[in-house]
Amino acid sequence: MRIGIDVGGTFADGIIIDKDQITDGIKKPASGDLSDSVLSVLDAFPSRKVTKADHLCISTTLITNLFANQLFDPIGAALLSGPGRDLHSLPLAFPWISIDAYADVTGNCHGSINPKIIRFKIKELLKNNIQGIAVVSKFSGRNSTLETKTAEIVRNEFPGIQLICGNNVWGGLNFPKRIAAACCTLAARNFVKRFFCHLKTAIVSRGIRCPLSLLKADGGLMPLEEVYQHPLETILSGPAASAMGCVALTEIGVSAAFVDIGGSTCDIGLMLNSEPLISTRGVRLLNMPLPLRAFAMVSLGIGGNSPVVLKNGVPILSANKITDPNLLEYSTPTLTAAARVLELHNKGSHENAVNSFKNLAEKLTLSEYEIARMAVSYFQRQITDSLHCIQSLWLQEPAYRIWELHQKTKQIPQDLIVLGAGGQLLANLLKPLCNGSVTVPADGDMANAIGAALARHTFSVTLRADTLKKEVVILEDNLRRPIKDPRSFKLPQARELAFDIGSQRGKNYGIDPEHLDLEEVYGEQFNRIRYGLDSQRIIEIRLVRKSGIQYDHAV
Amino acid sequence: MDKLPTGFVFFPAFDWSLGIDHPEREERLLYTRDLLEEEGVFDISEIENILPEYAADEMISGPHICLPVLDRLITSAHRYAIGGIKTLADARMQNKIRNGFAVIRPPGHHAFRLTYGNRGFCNVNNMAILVHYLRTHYHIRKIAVIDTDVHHGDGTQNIFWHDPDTLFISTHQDGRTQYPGTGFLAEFGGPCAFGANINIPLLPGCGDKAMKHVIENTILPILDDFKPEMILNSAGQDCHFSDPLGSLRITAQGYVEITRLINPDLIVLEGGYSAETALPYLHLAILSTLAGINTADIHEPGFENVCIEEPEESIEAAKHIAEQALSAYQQREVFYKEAFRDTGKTCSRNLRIYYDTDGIVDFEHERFYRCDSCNGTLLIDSESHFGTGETIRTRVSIASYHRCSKCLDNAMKHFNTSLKKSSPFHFVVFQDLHENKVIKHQII
Repeated sequence: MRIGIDVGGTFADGIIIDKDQITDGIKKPASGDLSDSVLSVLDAFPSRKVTKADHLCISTTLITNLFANQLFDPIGAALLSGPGRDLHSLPLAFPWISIDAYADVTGNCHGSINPKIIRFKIKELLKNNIQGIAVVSKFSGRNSTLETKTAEIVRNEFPGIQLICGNNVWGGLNFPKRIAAACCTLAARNFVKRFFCHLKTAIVSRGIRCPLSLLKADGGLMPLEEVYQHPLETILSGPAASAMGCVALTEIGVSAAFVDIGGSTCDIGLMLNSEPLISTRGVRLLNMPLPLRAFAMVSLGIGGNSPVVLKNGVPILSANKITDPNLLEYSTPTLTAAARVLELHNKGSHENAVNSFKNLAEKLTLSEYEIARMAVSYFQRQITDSLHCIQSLWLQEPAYRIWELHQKTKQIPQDLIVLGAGGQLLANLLKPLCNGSVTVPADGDMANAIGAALARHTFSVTLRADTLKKEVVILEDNLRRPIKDPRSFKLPQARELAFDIGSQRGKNYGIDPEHLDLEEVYGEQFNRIRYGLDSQRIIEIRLVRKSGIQYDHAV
Repeated sequence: MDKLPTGFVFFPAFDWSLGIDHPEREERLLYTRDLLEEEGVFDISEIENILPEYAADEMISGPHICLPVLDRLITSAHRYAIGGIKTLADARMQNKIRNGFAVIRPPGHHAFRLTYGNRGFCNVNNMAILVHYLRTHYHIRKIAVIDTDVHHGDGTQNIFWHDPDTLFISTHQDGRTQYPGTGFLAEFGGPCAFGANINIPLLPGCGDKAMKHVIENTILPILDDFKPEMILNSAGQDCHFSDPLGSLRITAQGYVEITRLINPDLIVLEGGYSAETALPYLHLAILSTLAGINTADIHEPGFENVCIEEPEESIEAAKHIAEQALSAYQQREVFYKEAFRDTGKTCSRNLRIYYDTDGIVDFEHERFYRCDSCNGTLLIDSESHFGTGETIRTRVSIASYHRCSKCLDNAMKHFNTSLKKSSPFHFVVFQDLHENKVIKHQII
């Protein structure tokens, strides 16, 4: 038995799934406090069921809100950048200092760490009243020595300061993203720890002792205990729940665009052969790009309950939320009311819906129908633009090989799936936007909670071996292992090692080896020829356990 | 966004190589990819990542005669490299980007008009295909190609030898010390395009100072006079001081200066084989310069305080050849009379083209028919000997860009008369450059 809870901007939805069947569903108004919302849903379920749950997963916008509301700790960054882009041109949301030593593209270090200069510069940085410092070096996934040495000096000289090293957060390439990830993780860590300890205690006090997870941006589960280490993985948890809900509610192998219409938001994404499209580029926090594996989705701040307002004399949908609980009484002009005026659905009084547009109609000396039509057109334009945006995101993903480019020639799906609380009422609005069919699946209004309930663990293993350095690095956790026999260490050996590490990780999550589903998404061996000597090799392998639906027969 | 972004096509063809230890191996752009990823250039609004298309046959065979058949010459990697140039050109011409850089493999500037295989790592000429595409698809007439590879761009020179509307300027290491052994000042263009082909060979040891002098004192004044509608740069990063195949001494900041001064509309990568030490930082430098991003902190790792010396005699020689080149360009009409005084309406020349990679020798006899009203007609007889013992004889008649109807008829007449069964040729080809039309006939 699995419980999924999705806390959105308007509603908190909960679902219980037993033996692959939905047994209970609850929709409660969201209170603005995540703990309260989660507990109100749990309290609404029969307690005998809740206590028997095998797993509870929550999708939440908590981390996003933490940064949006500036509730994070003040921190700074010590950067070891070397040649490259001007640091001042990077979108850094935290105060920073620059240290002269650096690692190059091959991981070789240049310059030396001078403790005196570091001490002086850190003192300057501390004048910003910061509590922690992220130490980030370029190419620290290839050589973390400079980060470690610098952190050691800071730790000895300034014992009260919290520290984080870039390579411990993100070992892959992308210096600006590594800075952002290290800074945001450090800034969020204390808050996250406090909050989830509190939440866990409250849940346990209700007799629920099953594993607790949050939904990650890639539609996978993250055990609550790991959120402290990697809080950023759970931003965009809400849109990920929509995507997973879409996968759960449609037939296997479907390719379509999907739109989740909530009360105050819309999430738009693309699903190819039952796999939501992943974007490696799109996620930003405090305007800083993050190294996050996330679904390629666009979130709009408008939904079914968005009020129709005038902007420069033109009716548009406002991002402001309406708190009126009886939305179908149409006391204010909303998108749902506009659809009712145009008879695109038949819920609520048509007369009330028309009347709600009376004021706007008088102001603009247009009919209520024309105002409603303009509001609906505005919504349709926003959705169309978002669909184009995702399609171009997909097409803009870099491809470095012939076969990757061949993949790009696939057709963009023409069908549309509509989910969310507003899906049933507003699906007709989306029909003119696509050339294929428009489908509203049964239970589509609870898609997010269903997605959260049925999600499974996702993880990746990115192995980089350099036979010249006689070293293998697993980028996700900066695990380093020596290569005993570099001459015979080739792609098959690297692959075997990566799969071993992946299996071990799966075991740690309690995944049955039969359902591990580790997929090699990248595997390449580059020969390094130097001065006519025997060739050395750089080997890169990336294994991914993709998101998917977990049925009762598979753990 | 206030200004348009810089377009960037990055197709390193990680699954294509000319051999496990060949300079053109998979690894060549690996570190460039790594540095660009690490610098986060794919995430910034000043740079627009553009994906290549799969180029169709017509795109490639436009300026080329591919023999015996196109598919024996090229792979999918070539098609994507060319498709990358096409998407970049489209973005530029549709005003989606302000300029662009195609970092692609395989390179192309040693591929001649008639191409039978691989020479100097090139099968088909990316730059020539770009010029041809801009001209036939977007009707850009006057185009300047500045080739800054350490090797002379002999293929591009060959393809535009008779085209007065394409100004080809190549700066490279002196042909007496470098492959392909050509690219001297005396190679000044065909009778109809005399002075539109300028070679500025540089002695080993020339670096930033020499290059800056050549560009400021020769290339820019010539560009100023020629007034091209577009400036293209065949950019070889093998002029770098650490390049294993070259002996010039340009630095990363030198490449910033080259790009800033030439200010090209589009750049296409040619060579550059210092894969680890130089290429990543040079590509970052060039891309940042195009995009208007601060380049002050871009330099080769470990060379912060190292001064790359240029021998004084190399700089002096560069200044001398630069002066001669400008003077020859300015007096091209005087030299023209001298060069072609004994020729009538027809000029001819013989070429021996060696394919170092594939071991092919091609002997070409060119006859150029001058015309008072257009750019004339070109007839090429080629006899190509393959290492396998196979010989291919080909006749090509070419009607030029902006040809008159008389020359078009003339080219067609040559084609038709060569089609006889008794013809000594295996292939007879008619090419109308203006209409981007090719008729290829195999005589069995």
